[in-house]
Amino acid sequence: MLKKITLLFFIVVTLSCFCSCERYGTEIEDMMIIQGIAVDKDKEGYEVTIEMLNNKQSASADSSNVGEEMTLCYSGNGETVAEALRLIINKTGNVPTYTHNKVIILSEDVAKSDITKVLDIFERDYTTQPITLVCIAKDVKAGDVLKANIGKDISKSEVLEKILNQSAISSITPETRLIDVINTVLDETACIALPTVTLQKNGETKTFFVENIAVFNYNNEISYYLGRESSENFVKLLGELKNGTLVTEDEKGAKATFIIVDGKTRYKAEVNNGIVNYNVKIKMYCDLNAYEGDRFQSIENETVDIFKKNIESDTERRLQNTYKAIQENNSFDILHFGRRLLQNDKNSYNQMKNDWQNNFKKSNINVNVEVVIRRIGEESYHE
Amino acid sequence: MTEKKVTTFQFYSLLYICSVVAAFMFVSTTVIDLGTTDAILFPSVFGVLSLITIIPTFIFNKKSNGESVLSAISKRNKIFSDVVAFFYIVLVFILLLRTLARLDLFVSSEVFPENTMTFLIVSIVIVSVFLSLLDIGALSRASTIFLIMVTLSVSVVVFSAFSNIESVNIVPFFMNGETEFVKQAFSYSVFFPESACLILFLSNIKGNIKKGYYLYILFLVLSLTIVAFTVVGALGEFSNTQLFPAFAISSVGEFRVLERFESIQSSVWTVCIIAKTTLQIMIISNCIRHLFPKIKWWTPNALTGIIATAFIIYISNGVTRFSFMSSQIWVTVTYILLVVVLPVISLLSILKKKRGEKLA
Repeated sequence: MLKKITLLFFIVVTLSCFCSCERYGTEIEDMMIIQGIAVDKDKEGYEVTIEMLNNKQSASADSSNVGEEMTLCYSGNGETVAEALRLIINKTGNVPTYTHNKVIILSEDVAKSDITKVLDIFERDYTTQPITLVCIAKDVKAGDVLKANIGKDISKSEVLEKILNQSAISSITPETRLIDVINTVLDETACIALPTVTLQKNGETKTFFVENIAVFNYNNEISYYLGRESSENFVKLLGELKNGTLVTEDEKGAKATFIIVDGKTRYKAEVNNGIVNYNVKIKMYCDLNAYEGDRFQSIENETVDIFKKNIESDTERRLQNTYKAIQENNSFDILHFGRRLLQNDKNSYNQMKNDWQNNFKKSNINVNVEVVIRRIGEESYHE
Repeated sequence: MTEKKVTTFQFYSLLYICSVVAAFMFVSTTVIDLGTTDAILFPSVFGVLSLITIIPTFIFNKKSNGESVLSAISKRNKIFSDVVAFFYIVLVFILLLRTLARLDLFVSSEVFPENTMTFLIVSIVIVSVFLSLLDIGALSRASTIFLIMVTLSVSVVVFSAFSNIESVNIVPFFMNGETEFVKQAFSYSVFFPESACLILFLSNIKGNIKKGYYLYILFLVLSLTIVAFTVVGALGEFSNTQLFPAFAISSVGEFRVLERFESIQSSVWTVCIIAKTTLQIMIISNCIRHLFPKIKWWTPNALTGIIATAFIIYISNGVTRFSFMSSQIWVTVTYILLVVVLPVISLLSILKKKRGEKLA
């Protein structure tokens, strides 16, 4: 009998406490489902802008007929980012949920100070996700990026997330999730490098543009930017080569465009007389995508060899130059080469890590690129 | 202990889920560095330690002809068996408090952040008390079903996070020196005192206890190593900033069918914690029954539940109290007493008695 009573009690308790309906903020309409967060500096502290889903529109069966925007933007000010975010509740009346947050945009002003102070809430809060992307708004307020008119019925954060992801897949900028930023900060020898986003005019509307990389110093403050070409080379040196495009010429100067379909990077670090020497081997698998020579004619094997050699020597030269540029520009180790030394020679790393900036500046690199041309496109080929 | 029989598979399934849930509820502390590659070797050290510390239990099993610890000792020395039972009550109660405190922390941070979850904890204790009134057979049989859930859930977490493994996160072993590695590996191992339950349920298990134990340790070490490898490879030093590092990999991994896979994870781990708390309440209650044989059958279970709830409400309302409860010293002392000292002195007591009988 007692067992039955206990069982009945258990069922009643279960029914009453697992339905999750009594607490405010569990209904979709009561939630502030944040899509993107932008942080700017203001006189008192920070101005935080959020893009949230318009629950009225999202919750309707046929959302296109409601006549409402897909997302809404709100701003709040506070001494800290956390306070500014909390104060937005006063404007929306909804409970903030960061779980679906896709992107964190920091303004250049914010990035001029230690960005770890700003990012702490996104690491500490329970509902934030470590895979949220982080980027810097260049030549524009971070809040303006989220408020930009890029078209109707679009979640701007979602578009920006797609661009940043695609940019990483195309090896234009590195993948910079919150977890990557935190791991870089915790790495004693590494510096942060974040992609930048700008706004460009596109007729009546505007469009996002991601191409440069913001380089941070050892105090996690923004220092300088890497341009488009250097950014691509940086990604290759970083070992994040996935896809991308390459343009080269044949012996007559006709241009050929290749698509990188896969890439592998290997590192070897050796210390000789207190100088670190890096051997970086990059293997790229490429497909010919377009060729401006010979009026749709087939390509001879000799031409394929010329392409291969040209790409190899050209890429090697470019990567060496980018490495040199990074070294000469204050030697902030955005390439995680300190970590590469650790993986190869623990003792030397322990000796050098305390003066890594100087040791990185003195280091040498030898880049060896191997290109495998897999396909030449929808064309016959000469034997 | 009750004399209901369970197979080795059923019993070790229960121990396995209790151990794995401990790994997923592992809270980051400054004592153990889970971000370095050394963490991948910690489970192997735990495996070796488990194989060594179980020897007294196996000898005890042989000498007592498969009798459980309390009944075997009480036949020879009732007072000594009461002392052992008392120690089991105290030590397992500490484990129970730690499990509940961790559940409270988990639920109030990962499932319902910024909410006091006292009502949920009380409900879970009620459920555990009810389940503990059933025999070990029922719990063990249920565990075989949980085992499938846990295996599936761990596999999916690992599989989904595998593509996020970064080569820069893998650094050489023994970065902080061999001594520090041994210290940390031991600190990690003491979080898994589940094998101490074996000596208490010897008479309930049918089948080859030794073989089952070896398989259980092998399977557990493999699972923990895979989880540790994923944590180190996918999270790197970020894992040291996370409250529940092993749980954090489910939010890094991308599982195409379900965007919020960690929500399902939460429910799986909650079910496993219920099984764990049930086992702990069952052990405490059985030991109380050994001390007071005339007590009503449900009273020890209810009493354990009430006292544990009162303690947990007090502990979980302050982070300093929780830190004290979860401090490494408590964890180490309970592990040494439960896994090493109590089985050894129990074994010595029956060996001494046997020698006395032989001499007589």
